Amino acid sequence: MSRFPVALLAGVAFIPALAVAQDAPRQSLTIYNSNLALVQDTRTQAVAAGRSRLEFKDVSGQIRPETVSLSGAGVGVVEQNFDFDLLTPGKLMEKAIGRQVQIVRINPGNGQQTTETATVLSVNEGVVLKIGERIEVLREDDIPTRVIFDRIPENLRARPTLSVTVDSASAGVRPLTLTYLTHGLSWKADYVALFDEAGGRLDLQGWVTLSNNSGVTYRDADVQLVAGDINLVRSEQEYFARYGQRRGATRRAGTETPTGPESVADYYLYPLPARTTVAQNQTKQVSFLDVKGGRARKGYAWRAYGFQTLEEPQAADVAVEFTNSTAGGLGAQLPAGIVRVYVKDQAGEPKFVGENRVDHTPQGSDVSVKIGEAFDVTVQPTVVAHERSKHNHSRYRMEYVVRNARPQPVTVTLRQGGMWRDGKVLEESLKSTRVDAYNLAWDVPVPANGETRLTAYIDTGH
Amino acid sequence: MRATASFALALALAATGAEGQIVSEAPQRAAVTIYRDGEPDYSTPAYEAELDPWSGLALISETRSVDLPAGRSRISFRGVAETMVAETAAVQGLPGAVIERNQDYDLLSPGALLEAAIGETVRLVRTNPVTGEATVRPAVVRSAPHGPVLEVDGRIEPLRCSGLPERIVFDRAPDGLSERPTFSVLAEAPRAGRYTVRLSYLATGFNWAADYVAKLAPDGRTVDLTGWLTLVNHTSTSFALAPTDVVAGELSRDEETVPVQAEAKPVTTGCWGSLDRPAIPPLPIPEVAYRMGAPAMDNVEEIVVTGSRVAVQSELGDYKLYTLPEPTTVAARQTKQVLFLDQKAVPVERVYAFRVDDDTELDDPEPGPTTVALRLRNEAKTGLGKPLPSGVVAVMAPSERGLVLAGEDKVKDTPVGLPLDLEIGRSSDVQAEVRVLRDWEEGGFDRKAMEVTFTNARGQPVLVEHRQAPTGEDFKVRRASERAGFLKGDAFWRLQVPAGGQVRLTYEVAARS
Repeated sequence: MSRFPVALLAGVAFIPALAVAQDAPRQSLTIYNSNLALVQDTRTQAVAAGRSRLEFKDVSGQIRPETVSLSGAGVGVVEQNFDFDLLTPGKLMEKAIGRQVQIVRINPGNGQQTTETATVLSVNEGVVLKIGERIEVLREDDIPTRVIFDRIPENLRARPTLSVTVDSASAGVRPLTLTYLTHGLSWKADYVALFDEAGGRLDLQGWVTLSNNSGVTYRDADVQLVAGDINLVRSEQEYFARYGQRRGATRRAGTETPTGPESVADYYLYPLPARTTVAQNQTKQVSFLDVKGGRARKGYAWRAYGFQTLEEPQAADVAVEFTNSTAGGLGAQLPAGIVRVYVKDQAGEPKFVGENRVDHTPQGSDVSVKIGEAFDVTVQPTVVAHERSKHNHSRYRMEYVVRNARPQPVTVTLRQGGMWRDGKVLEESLKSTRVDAYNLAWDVPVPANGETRLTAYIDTGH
Repeated sequence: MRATASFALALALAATGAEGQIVSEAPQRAAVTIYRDGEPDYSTPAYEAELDPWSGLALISETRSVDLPAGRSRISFRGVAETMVAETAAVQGLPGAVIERNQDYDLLSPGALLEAAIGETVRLVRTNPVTGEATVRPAVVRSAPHGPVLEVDGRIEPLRCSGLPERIVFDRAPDGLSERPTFSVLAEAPRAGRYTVRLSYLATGFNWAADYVAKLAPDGRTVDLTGWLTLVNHTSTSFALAPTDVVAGELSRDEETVPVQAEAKPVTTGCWGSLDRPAIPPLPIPEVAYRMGAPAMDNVEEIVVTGSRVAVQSELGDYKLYTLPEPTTVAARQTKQVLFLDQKAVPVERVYAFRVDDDTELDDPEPGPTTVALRLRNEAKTGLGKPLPSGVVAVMAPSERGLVLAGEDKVKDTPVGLPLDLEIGRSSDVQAEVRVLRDWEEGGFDRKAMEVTFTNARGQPVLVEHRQAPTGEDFKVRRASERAGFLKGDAFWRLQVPAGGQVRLTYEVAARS
């Protein structure tokens, strides 16, 4: 579908295709986390004096045409068109309505060809032709019939095509820069964390993973990546796709200013070190972080949102906890991505032990990456008694059996929610901390190959 | 248009001309670690299951020997699992820096071939259906692949809308299209030479499960417990004689850790009207040669079981690692079973369980079956004391005609020290009938007088465990004919029911109105 009537464009449509004269584009890509990139595409181009129409090949197939702008010395833009009416046999036939085509029939008995001229009357669930004074439906008898068209209609193209009509004071070759936003380019971070539990150390490698499904290849492009969530006017679905996947691994937001990446507005820029070709249907990875020997520890956690009895013990979560601060040896802000944690087995081979997401994490934050559930560390809560106290209040006598089948002692952070109005602890076998109005937490030490029984007597409103 | 396309081609050659192209065809050695992902689908035999690229996970560590020239080389790794998750790859052993690594998944397909030829001259071959005479004409591709349109002799004709046999012949396959997604690394080597490179990556399509067989002794007091690791490789990649281990435990996984979905573009004709027909018939789905009968070696593994063939368990962080006793071939489209547990004479207790809770029908009582469970204590002193990865336990009981299946149950990951109840079925011989003898309110409490009668039609006395769930706040049990215990939040009784006899339990429950 064309944005303008054909007649309006007819005046410029016969200007020879200047695209042939275009030089190799110099491209720069600024890629965001949210399936979006800013493309700056500079081409050396011959421009005629006066009005001329320039066609730009090899622009992204997922271009947002409303964001296109063209700049060049002495060149004014008259109008921009993005034509996405694709040439197909069906479209060719529709555009031939009222026109003449050639019909070539092949006699199925002797293979003889007969050629006739026909006028296309309609294309509605079949093609109605007028041949001489006869009206026929094309290939109603299923006899092989070729249809030959004189020409391709103006606005039908093999690919969506961006064209810009410019007004130039003088003729000549000059660089033109096309700037646009496109979907189909995105990036994320992938982290490899090698965790040494005994030494309490973590080696963290970060890879930028950028992917290109935009439909074209960007050759020798200058690439920079923006870490951060820029606001975009977008559909709700995309919004939830973006935020739904983020699970908070940040326990305390950091306040250190990184020395590394340049920041722009409130985001960080990661330029790729050299020009590179970002091919269509390609995932490209470049290293951006490699720190060794940061401090890290393992933590066990279990959480109940209400007061309940479990028939079977439940495995505690295992998390790798670290601070991405300079003092902790991991001083870098972390763009959002997936952290994959490896530990060495008894033969010294690194083995994958789980993965999780981190959000854009400022430097100096406390990060806790849940990697899985402990086979040997379990918690089993029991409501020993549920009593009614004063109006709208209940008392829960809770018992938690925390078991450890490992040969080392462990500490499990046990968190109990369900503290509502006036919630208070009446008795407890270990000292709790009140995380907030609604949650209690205990650090429960459990001996090697043993168990700890934690009891608590709690009064809370509903 | 034609000029632009050839220009782009020249550019492509120029861009790749600076670096050496190295292809590493296959690993020399590979080690495979298989993770469990979700519950295995017991309803479908593995050889019938479709490859679901999103389920199952393995860590593959390959060792490859690569000859590199000095300078910059692009090393393509072939022979990797086709379900490789490229962004998880780690490459070690290269002499210099890795500049970047890529996965290219622009697939060579009929549609991609035609699309790459837009603006180029191809040959159009038409065959006269009567005479068989073929005519070849040069043609320029003007549109593809949503309905190819050709320019032949200066006029425009669609491809394959006429009903005539027509085909396009291309002079060459376009650059940059590959038959499958290809992982490559762009690296700098200071000196030419042969380097040993380690490539490790995560791949989906591998899975494993634990399957247990518990054989009851004739006296019913012990079981012989065997555990099998069942490995499944749903991919079409085989790893020969690979050191193999499996990880038991629940790992956190991310839904995006999946292989790239490469799109194979078909060609559609886009012809007019209702006489459209496909230009190219849909690609036949390749027949996969399933290994219906396992190869001889696998049969041996299944039958001959000795202690030395048992997988060895060790610790991996907070998970359990089971290493297969010797390198094995993890073949494409194969399941493989290896023993990991072989414990004789593990004591069991047969328990008949019954529970009254909110779901129990109390206003129209009739006798109902109790649940039969075998209770194991997973402790060294009771002859077990081994971590038990989650799986299905089949309990077999001896009979005069050999073993019969007494029932199956799923077990969760069970660490050492926890009791394990295997619910194997419902007993028609040991039944329970609950009756409410009286229902009243008194002193702000709802009260019920309960009577539970257990009957035993078996030839030996049985142990019955009865549980009464709390009926509300301030739940109390009073006037019980046997003193109540407490288990998992419930009032609880253990009762011996004599052979061919019955036991009656009465108690009152009360909860705040």
